[in-house]
Amino acid sequence: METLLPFEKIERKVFTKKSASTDPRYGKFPENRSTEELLEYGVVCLNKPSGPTSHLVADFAKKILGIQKCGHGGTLEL
Amino acid sequence: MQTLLLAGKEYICLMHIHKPASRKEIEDTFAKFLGKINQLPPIRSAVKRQEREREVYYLQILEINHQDVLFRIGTQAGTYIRKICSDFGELIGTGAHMAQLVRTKAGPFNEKEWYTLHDLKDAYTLYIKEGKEEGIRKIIKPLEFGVQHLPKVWVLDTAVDALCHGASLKCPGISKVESNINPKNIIAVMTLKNELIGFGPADLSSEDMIMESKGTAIRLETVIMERGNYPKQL
Repeated sequence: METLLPFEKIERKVFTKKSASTDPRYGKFPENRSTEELLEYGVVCLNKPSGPTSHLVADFAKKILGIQKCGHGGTLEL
Repeated sequence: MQTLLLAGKEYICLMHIHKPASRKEIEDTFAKFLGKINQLPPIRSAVKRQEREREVYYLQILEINHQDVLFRIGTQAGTYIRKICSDFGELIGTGAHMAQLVRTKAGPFNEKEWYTLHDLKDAYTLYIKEGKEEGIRKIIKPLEFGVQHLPKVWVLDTAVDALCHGASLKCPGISKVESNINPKNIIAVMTLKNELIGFGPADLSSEDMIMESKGTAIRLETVIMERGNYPKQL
């Protein structure tokens, strides 16, 4: 049985409206970000243990990484 | 992130049926849950209790052990699996309840690559104490990872800063467009360096974004990129 969610089934092609280059002086390709930058703005897929709330786990992650801000992207509502 | 709330989900659920049932009975009852279903959120829930339509994309029995059924289920956001179990119990006539639930997909995040808090702690310690970046860089992804499930539009360097200041994206600012975009779809707006600027609903289809020379294409409801990364006007 196919176990794909709708967005995993949509095939998307890329069409160019106006072909252009990008100036290397501005911005940064995500793969070129430093580890510090990843820690500043990044995402982690955590397998939350049962017990502590999502909020608590986000708090644990915050403490582990010694960062100021950390949130979670969805509560597993039973 | 808000975009995940609306994304499809997959779960693995352990359900306990209150009296023995044959495999055939279980399969036949599950079949009734495929596709569009009407669901009344459970008494203890985070949303208003009124019946609403939800879609079940797939349902796969993984194991049946006496009265315990382990299954994988892919659903539209906002489907209560606990309610599916109790409704299943009613349909099969013996009662049933959810014993355990694990979410295995939420948009682009899935069980193929997830980490524990211990993994995170270990990798961070290695990075801080010994300067080893490899582990932590594998675990922490650029935030663009979190919008992989969204259709994308790439904009010219000259359009970036206005978007960071809250302007909507106009057709002339577009460089590239993904196919199959329809009005109201939530679109991730990217720079040509594949940086996420923000996201919001499309006003136009992919075709119209390509064809039109003026007018609004996407209204960015959430801006992620900070101002000043790109110049005001090149």
